[in-house]
Amino acid sequence: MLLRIADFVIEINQKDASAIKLDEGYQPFVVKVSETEVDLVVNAFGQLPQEQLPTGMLLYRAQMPEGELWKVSKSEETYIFHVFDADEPGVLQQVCTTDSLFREWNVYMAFNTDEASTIDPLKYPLGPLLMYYLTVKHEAIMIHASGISDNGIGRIFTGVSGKGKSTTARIWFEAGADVLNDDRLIIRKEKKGYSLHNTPMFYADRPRSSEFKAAYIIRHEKENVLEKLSGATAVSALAANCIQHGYDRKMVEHHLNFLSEMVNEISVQSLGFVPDKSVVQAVRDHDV
Amino acid sequence: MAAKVVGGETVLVPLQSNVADLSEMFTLNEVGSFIWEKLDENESVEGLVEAVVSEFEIDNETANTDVTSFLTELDAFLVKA
Repeated sequence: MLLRIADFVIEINQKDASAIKLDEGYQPFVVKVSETEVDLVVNAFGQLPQEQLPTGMLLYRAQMPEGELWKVSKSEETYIFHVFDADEPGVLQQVCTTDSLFREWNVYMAFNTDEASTIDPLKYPLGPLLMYYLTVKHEAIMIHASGISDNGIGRIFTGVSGKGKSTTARIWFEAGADVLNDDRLIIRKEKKGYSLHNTPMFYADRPRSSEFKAAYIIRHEKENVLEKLSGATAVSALAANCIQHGYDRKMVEHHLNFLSEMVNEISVQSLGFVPDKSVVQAVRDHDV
Repeated sequence: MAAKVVGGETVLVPLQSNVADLSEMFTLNEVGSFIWEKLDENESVEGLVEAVVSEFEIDNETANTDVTSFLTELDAFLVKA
């Protein structure tokens, strides 16, 4: 099975291909063939391996208020991921192994029930986790943001939760823009410029992309006010909203290098906005 | 700690072993970036003040205030990180 997400090609292998059943959010991203090389391989297994996996040294733990979501350890050159059920904290869902290239992953399902007739090797949170590791090995980043295509101009609106990402997406949708996604996006450096892509969510939506031109760090205000950001200020404002697992210096440097190049080509502005259609014109008026 | 110089300023990002709030990264201006670089050379506080006076042609008292303030803020950031 092949998936094409943000122009990355993911191959999923399983002894019995019919046993794979992905969430509906992934279905629109399934492709029959790919003209480009495979970027990431998932070898899926319906049960935990017979042999004992190395324990390794714990590198990073994604501990959420509701419980542990995943953790990664390293033993020699092998990275070992333990991924837990997002709906049932503490219940092991998958164990994965990969090497430092993060290109080929063995994904072992950790079923404790007899529901093993079908398997979902990309079951949340592993799917987004794999996409994150795709970005750190390519010229790309994942960011929490709303992304729209406004007559071909790709804009993202980013900020911490509650600053208005979903509200912004709705306002632009009502103004006729194509909403790529209102939560999570992948930005890629292209031969010329940058591109913006949606990723599979918990609901079905077709793959959407746009040329990327402008980023806005948003907050609610009593009037629409835009201010250009540049240099280190722009980099840190964007980095704060990127999805990143900061246990590895090279990964953090990858993000900082990517963003510091990007801010030279992409307009970055802080945007205080009134949550109505007036913000659309205010933003368009500031286009260079 | 990972650091990136962008247009004469520096972004500092602490390495983490858990999910972190990265909304408070440390951004250093030109003077801060200069002091940060000098920290790698194991300069004493007096040495840092002297280097800032020489580089930015400011008086000793102002440089001393800048260096002390920088080190205090950096220390608070590192403790928090």
